[in-house]
Amino acid sequence: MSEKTTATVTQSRKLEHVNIILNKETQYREKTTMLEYVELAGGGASIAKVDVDLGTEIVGKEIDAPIFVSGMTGGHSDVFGINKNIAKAVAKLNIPMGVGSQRAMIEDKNLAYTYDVKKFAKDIILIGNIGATSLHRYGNETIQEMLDEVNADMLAIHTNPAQESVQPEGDVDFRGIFKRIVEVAKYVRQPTILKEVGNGVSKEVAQRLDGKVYGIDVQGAGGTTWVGVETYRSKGEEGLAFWDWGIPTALSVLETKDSFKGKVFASGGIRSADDVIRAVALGADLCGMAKPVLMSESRQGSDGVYSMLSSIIEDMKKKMAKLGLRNIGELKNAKVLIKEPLSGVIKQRGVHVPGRFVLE
Amino acid sequence: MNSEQISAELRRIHFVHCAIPDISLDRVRTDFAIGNIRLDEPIVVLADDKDDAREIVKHENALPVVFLDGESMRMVEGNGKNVMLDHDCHLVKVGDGLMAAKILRYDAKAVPYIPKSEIKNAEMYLQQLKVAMFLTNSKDIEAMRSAPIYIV
Repeated sequence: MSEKTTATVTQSRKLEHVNIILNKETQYREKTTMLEYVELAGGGASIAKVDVDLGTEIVGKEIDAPIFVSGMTGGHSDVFGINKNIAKAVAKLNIPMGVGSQRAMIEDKNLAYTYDVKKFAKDIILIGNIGATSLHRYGNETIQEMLDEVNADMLAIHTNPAQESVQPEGDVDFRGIFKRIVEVAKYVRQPTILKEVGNGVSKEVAQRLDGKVYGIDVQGAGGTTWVGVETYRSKGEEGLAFWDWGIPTALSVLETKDSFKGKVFASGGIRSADDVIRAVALGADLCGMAKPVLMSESRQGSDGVYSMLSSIIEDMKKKMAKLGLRNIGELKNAKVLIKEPLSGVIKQRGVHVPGRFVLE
Repeated sequence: MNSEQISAELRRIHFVHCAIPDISLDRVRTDFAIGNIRLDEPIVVLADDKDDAREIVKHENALPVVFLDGESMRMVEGNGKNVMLDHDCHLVKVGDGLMAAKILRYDAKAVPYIPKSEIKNAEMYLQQLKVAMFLTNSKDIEAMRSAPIYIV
């Protein structure tokens, strides 16, 4: 395929993805995040909401809440506005955001502007993005240039074998990919995270990555299924059997924490303050949200994103105040009860959990 | 157990997803040993009898074809001859390739099969089985038989 054709295919895929997520049912049907099986015991008497501080740190910078907007889109003129609106909202909230795969701007430099959101929000922490399978195609220098072009503070390498398996034009050759991920993470200046796209990260994979990347974004099962998205695109039935394939987010966070000493991000089906509180109590450093942000942006632009995220942040403060938890440090040390069936799966998988956890 | 009971049991089995496989989906090997017989694919078509099996083999070659001869299971080869498979193995009906993968993982003596009416979906089921192998980083059937799972 010519370079021009490849670029065109990539661009139109970007637009199709956004349209499918906004207009079709693309959530997991049977699997949940399993966060509903996590309960917190309080830290003591309830406190005033105003005394709760959600501040935390990532890549050495202070942010105001353990939440970020997952990288979703870019690479087409019609989606530039989405990134711009998200950037304006996260700037007001002082939380990070990611962009979608920047492959499109490598293929066509004229599309770089669709990712260049720091023009509108110069102080935000921006997470760049490239697909793991693209690393066979592009050298380390190209990846560094891609990040520098948009002043990215971090790199997310996304791995998506399930999505690629169902995608009509999918790249299903993962031989040598792990080695390339490690090479790129070592080469680029920015800290690198490995990110799944909705099927989760197991303890076996997390262990292999330990010491080799800055962080892992587990992006577990329970939210949007990209197998579902690609099944709509392919108009075939093969993907239907894998609609619910993946490791639930809660389980994936615990498996990753058990095997990996770097930062752990919990994404995949994070929809509410309760989800964020539970995921952080399990050990996540940050929680990523995607679809709810996209939906808010489509309805009310930047104001919609700001309103949705700030209401989650306020709700977090209210709930933590009730539990007597003053800050993220106390939340990460809170006593946690894990109920069946999650507790049973943890035992089956041989996952070690901290002493503050009680397994039903 | 009947088919519905088996389906219900299999729904409780979950393969552990491998986020970074070391293999290519297009290179997974699906040949499968039953005793001293090696099948090209691990899903078979169940024919009514020997003559029916020979007829199917003439026209369809995506999947191996077997029939039951009393209590033994026999596979019909391309030349029309048939060979007896391991008498300890048993047939389990599948509705898709992922189900076949779960059966192979869970029961060492099970042979996934589809009825004749499903032959049109044979290629899709095989591809689904390969996807399950890819996503569990299993380069062949033997590797998939020890892929991590959990049961809910």
